[in-house]
Amino acid sequence: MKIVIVSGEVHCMASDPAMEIVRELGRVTMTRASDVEWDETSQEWVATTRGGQEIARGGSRTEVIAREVRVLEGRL
Amino acid sequence: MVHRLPDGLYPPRNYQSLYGEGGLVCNKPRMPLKELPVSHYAKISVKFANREALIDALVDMGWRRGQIEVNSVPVHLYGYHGDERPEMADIVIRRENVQGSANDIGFSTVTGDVIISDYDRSVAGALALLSAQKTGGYNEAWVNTLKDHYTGYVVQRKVNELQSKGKRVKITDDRRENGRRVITLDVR
Repeated sequence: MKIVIVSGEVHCMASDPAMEIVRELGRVTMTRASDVEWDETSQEWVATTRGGQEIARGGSRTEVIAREVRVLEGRL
Repeated sequence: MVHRLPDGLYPPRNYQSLYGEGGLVCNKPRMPLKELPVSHYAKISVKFANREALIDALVDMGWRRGQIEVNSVPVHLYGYHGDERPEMADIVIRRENVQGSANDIGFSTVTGDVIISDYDRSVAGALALLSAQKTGGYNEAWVNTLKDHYTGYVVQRKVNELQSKGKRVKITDDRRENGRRVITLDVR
């Protein structure tokens, strides 16, 4: 889990453990980071950024989300 | 692996596609796919609400603990001529301890705000030992540096609190890079 502090703001991927640690720092704003949808053609879960870039895919939704979070966290 | 979702609910009722005929049957609560959780970015605008962390951060910025006035209730700040100002704060750096500053600097841990006069935000003036960090008085950059230190202490305190409750969490890395502070935690 990564917490980035820049210009007086804290950025992180939202998760229960992360929010437990950072919530008391101030007012929280949430922005949806991705879409995880079922691809009928490939019969897999596909995670894409809000801009449409594919960042993870696979048969297990849980695993796709875990990979997706790692990718998004690396971009914080 | 393939999940077939004929009824549009997740998880699938039957994992036959994964485990073969007679495979695992899911009895967990199911929900429409559109309502499943997705990832979110969290952004927090830092407020100074934790007294102990704020005091530690102010020490990092060059003050001695004895120079940091801690009040149980908000008190008035004073200006250059000793005049009482309308602003009130519970954590106060009096002007005689703020080199180059004309007025008291205050923090309200109730609202989380820092109170710095417009004059002090605009002029160069700081503790000599911090001169290299100064770019022009107690301006936004200075406040952001203070928030950087403050956040580190709040996170450390929260980690300590969670560890005392038996949770397996620890800070594994803490570094500054490209004008950012990045704290990495291992949470299990």
